[in-house]
Amino acid sequence: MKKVKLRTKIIIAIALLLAIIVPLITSKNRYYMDVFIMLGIYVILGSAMNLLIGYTGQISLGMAGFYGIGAYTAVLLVMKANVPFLPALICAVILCFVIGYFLGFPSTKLNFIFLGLSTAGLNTIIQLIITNSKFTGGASGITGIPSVKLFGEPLTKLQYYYMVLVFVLIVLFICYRIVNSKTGRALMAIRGNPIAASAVGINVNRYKLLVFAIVSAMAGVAGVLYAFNIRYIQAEAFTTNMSFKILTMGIIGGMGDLGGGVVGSLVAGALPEFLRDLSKYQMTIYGLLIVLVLRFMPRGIIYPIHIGLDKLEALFKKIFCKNKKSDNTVKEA
Amino acid sequence: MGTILKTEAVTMQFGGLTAVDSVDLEIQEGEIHALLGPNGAGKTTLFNVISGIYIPTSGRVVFKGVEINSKKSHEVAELGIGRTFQNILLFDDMTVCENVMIGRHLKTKQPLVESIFCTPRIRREEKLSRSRSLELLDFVNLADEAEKKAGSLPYGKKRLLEIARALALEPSMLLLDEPAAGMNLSESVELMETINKIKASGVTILIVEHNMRVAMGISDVVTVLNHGQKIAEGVPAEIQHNQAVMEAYLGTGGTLQ
Repeated sequence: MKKVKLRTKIIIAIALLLAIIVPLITSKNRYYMDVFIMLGIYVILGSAMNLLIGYTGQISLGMAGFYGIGAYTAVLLVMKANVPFLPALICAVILCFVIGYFLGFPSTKLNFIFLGLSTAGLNTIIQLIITNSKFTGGASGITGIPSVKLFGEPLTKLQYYYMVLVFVLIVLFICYRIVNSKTGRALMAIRGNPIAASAVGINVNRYKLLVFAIVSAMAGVAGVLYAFNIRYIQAEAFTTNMSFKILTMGIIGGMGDLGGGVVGSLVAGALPEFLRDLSKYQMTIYGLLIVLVLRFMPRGIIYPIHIGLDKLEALFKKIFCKNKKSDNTVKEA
Repeated sequence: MGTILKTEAVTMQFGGLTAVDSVDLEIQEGEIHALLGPNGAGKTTLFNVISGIYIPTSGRVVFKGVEINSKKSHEVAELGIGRTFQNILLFDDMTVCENVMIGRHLKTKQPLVESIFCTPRIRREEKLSRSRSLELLDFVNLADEAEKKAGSLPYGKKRLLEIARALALEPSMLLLDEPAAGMNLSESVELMETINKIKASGVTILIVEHNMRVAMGISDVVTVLNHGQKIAEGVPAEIQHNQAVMEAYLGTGGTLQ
């Protein structure tokens, strides 16, 4: 088995600690809590996108469609059929998985660019169905979504955030396990060269459909968490603009690097909060972000961070290595 | 020993071009069978037909008694035919060892759901996959490069890595498409030793090779194609003095050393 580097473990520990502690401090501020919850949702979306584009080399501009299907399915199940939250979430995830599997079909026939176009088309179709169907509340959406309850008490924002965090960790763990197994190697082989992949017995089409199903299910989870946080959904939130935003998250952090997916999601997700006054230009900024990152950091934002950490580690070893084993010194630092 | 692979009147047309024209081929189990011919003779096309990349326009391909004409590439691999590529198709941004591990795809029992829960079987299979891959790298003398990126290897070693990846499939038949291309003399001698070792392990080999020293040196039977048609077949010594073959390569009046 591949060993996880000590340094990676330390970084994960620090990140997890921050993710747990910082919201505790800001728990009084609703705005901050909503931002943190949204960042969690973005990490799920961005990591799914990274699995698709970074590891398998397939593009989708239809992720927001599944984000929407997840949201609407769970909301309708809870509001019209009185299904409790968790079973509704599981149903939504299964539905997204199945629909994702079948809508992944274009990936078996089309190359990168045309796959992008056709998935954008699928996204628009899903959005139009939502907008024009009475069942989904039409263009005005669904209001008054009940809050998620625990032991009969509605969850506070802080509790909701921790629930989102649990789902983030589950999604990241699944990504990690997939990537480090035969399935992940098959996906990377497809990215590398589909002809060579099939020559060693990899059923390329089957794996493409499988990965589309998996990332669609992940987008579905994100959709459910989104809907029950803001408790108001409308087709507007699930347009191709959102898909493009998800694509940005999957690309800029570092394709084919789980940490990169997380960093990319956080950067692309937090950026609009810093640029509130420029919200009109949001899509322009995302476009610019992709162009600049791909031009100046083709391996993603994570790459310079890796290099910086390499240097830092070397520095620590240099200072402390004389009296202790290098591993211990890094831990202390 | 019987026939392991048979092509019956296999024809492959691309629009008006007939790349392979009604070729009958019979390969006996355990032998090294070379496919020779000038550029554009249809050797690689025939390889692609056998390995499932192309579906032949007409004719039959039979492997171990099973018709594989319309089987897809991965299904042909499942039946036990491994192959390498003339234009080297490695997974460049993965390590040498990972490349071979991908070759063990069908031999590694790791169902997706179990992988997620990381059961003991998954760990065991992962370990086995890695150790078997390292053994194969050792077999082709690449053990020292295991953790390097495949893309960083020199040309000759890339070809060996492709062979190791194809062997990871544990195939009963191996198709080698110009394995000695771009190799220097000592590398190609080493390659011949490796190919003979593979043969000794019981794998039947069909090889396309332009390097006459390699092709004539290791093969039991040689088939020569020209313009998509089979023009000669026999043991290397016969082929070297075959009039039709000399004309195909050198025009009239030449001799082949």
